[in-house]
Amino acid sequence: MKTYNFKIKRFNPSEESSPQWQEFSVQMDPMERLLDGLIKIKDNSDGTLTFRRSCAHGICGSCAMKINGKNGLACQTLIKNMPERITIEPLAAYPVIKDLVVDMTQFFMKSEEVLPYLINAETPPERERLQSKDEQQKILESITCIMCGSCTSSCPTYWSDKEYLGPAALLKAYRFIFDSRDRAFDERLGRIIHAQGLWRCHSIYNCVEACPKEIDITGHITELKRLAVKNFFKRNK
Amino acid sequence: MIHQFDTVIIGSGLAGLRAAIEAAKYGSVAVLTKLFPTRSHSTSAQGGIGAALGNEEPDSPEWHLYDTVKGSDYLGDQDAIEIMCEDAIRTIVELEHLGVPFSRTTEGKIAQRRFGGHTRNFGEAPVRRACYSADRTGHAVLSALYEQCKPLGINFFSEFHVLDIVIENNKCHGVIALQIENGEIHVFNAKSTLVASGGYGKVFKTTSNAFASTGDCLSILFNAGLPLEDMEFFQFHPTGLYGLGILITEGVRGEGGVLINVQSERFMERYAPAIKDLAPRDMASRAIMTEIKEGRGIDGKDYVHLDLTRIPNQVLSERFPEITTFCKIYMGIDPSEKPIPVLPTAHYAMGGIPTDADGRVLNDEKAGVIKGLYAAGECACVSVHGANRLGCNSLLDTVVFGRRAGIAMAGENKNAERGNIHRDAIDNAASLIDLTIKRKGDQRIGDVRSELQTDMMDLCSVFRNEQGLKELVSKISIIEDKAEHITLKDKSKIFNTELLDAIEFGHLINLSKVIASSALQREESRGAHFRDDFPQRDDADWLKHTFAFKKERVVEFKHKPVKITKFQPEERKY
Amino acid sequence: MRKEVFEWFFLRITGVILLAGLTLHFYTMHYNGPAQTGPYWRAFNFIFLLSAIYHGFNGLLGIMIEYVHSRALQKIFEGVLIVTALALTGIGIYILSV
Repeated sequence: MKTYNFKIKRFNPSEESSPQWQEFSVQMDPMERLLDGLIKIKDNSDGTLTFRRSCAHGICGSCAMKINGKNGLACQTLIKNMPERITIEPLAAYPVIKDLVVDMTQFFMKSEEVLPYLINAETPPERERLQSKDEQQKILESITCIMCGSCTSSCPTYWSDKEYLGPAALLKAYRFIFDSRDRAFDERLGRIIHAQGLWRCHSIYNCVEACPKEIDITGHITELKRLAVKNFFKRNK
Repeated sequence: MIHQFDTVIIGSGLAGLRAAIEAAKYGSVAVLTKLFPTRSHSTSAQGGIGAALGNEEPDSPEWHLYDTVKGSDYLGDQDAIEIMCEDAIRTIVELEHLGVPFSRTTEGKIAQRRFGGHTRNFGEAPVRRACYSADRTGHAVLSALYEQCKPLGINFFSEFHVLDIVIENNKCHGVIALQIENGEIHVFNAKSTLVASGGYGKVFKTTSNAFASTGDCLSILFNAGLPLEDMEFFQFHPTGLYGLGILITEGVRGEGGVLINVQSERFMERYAPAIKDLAPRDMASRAIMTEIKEGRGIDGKDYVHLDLTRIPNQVLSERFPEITTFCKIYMGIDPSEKPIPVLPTAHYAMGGIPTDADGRVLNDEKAGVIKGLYAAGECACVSVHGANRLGCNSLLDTVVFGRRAGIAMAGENKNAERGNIHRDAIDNAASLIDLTIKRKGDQRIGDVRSELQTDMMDLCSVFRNEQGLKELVSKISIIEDKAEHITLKDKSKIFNTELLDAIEFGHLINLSKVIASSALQREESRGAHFRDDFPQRDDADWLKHTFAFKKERVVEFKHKPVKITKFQPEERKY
Repeated sequence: MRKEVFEWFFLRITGVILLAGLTLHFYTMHYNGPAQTGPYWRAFNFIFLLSAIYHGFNGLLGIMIEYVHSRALQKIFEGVLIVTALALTGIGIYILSV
């Protein structure tokens, strides 16, 4: 057991007008997760500390927050990899509801703009649609997204321009555009090649660094840009 | 705020969403979840979803049926199991058409792998039956279903915590829920209500279940006088990461991983000579605990090793990227190089809200139903899993019976009247919150909750006995009193998660009591329920379902015969 | 197809031209390279000028819409940027032609 100092940015809209920093000392076993520390604070020191959590092993995407300046999942951050002083803030660029809980409505809305569902009106075969391993490989990385919001929250373009679709929504578009079974290529591409779509990505790579599932989001967005250009010339031949 | 819907669905996991897609074809649908839909615990399912597609080798629904019956230790209702296994192939194909990115064979078909207890030709040898999307099958299916809900105009109410399911005169009127963000109470009047709220593994200390898996709705219905079925059967998954309980899918054993003890012995060969490490979960968990009890745990400690080093590296990285990452992050172990320490972890509730094969909730052991109330998924007990669920049958259960419930609700809605929740029910819900917030005392929620979870783990997990269970029942009673003295520090209306913890904890106590009492009354060993003092299965007296009813502060029991059609109970050997 | 696709593609093309052009430019202007005379050099400088103006101002337009959120203001800034770009192009052409 070792003592860690948790410095948490707190905000209770019913009591304060602006966020305050509060510090807690927590006894932690090196194998514990940062999330365990937050739970210890909530259970033992301050029941008002508010954060989202559910699966506790990095697959549900609930506990994304800014940990020592970098976005990540509290349940996937082991305390032994942390310095003794840990600064925790809510994800940037989303409105704060309370403490570490942010309003992700806008974030989810962005994904809806890209028609995030498989579209194929052809009569399906009796059995599964065939998809080769190579075709599957193309979307493999993109389907691992857990919609935690770390990427979009880390994107400098999104910080200044909330109209921008953001990395998560573009990745979602990629997931369907490159799915060999999908038939809404043109419509979906049309939804991302406007001024507030693909072109606002300046390949800053913050999203890649922030992604807890280690998805090369910028790479995927670049693929989409290339595809849009290729498609542009094909159509204008 | 008052809402009017044709169908209200509680829970946005696989069962809830599959039902929603069906129900939306004939009317308005609201889906309530205390998380965001894609955060539902279905997303954690790793290994696969079972169907006798026969893509990799010959298979048949009949074999699947046999395996499930045998896996259930003959407590599963065979008519319901037959429905599930017969419908499995159509179900998987349908999921694929909806967009689920299944892993593929070289011909481009859905890939399949071996899983515990699934065999060919009635128990001969393991068969490849589990369809998968790497080791993120639940995530892949949940995402696809949620995505397909979008164009159907299904209304999602995210971060709504259900306070009450209102039943009057044997009819369900709808749901009262708390909007977590602002503390506002919402009323959902509905023609039909589906409970698809998932499991309640959080009654145990070590569990693979999410924080949200607290069984709120089961507890609410139990308090309303409805029965809960087979609650003594709680599955412990053999391979949870030591100390954390995070699941390592059975799929790794399907691909060649093995369990080994301190003598580097592949001990499952002794317990299940035919299918070895692919023995069903109840047997594998007992085997591990027995090894540990007899001193063959690793370094004399309370765990064994799961050795994945014998799986080819390429298979490991292609098919199990997620668990490879878990092991590296949480244990600092690269599973391609070193074995992983594992221990059984509370995983799945076989018991739950009794339903018929169309999800209608039963109000007694004689198949009477509550009008307008349905249940599906882990919270329900059809019962297809009986005393022990086979791996990759839970996802199948959710989509098969979720769909059936959705169709049944859509049908019933055509001629049904919408429920009308009265003022007093709303006031009751509001006063529950008030009371919880204002309660004064010297107890802290975290302490009492971990006391309950530890007691349940110590006295009611893989091995049980009369003395322990009696002790547990009285301990739970003390905890129940202590819970009356829990004080909350957070009094605010906005995102008050401490309040939710308190409400959920009440449900956990309630369910623990049902589980412990149900385990105490069943004086035999069957499937996941193993009694040291009654180590044999007793078909003469106990080939029957337990129905637990609430009577004041105690639990009362009735029983229902098991439906046996094709396979007569016989000794369960693998 | 939308103009943004073409704009982005052209940004890349002019980027490549600028990379090559700048190397050449620095070499001839600052490291005693050959004197820039004759029609080929004139053509080079002309393309170099247009690429630089396009690349620079398109970049500025992009940055502008990320920080200016009112549609009306965006139009005004766009106008200002285009006029400036045209003016600079004019000056450039004038200098190249004398």
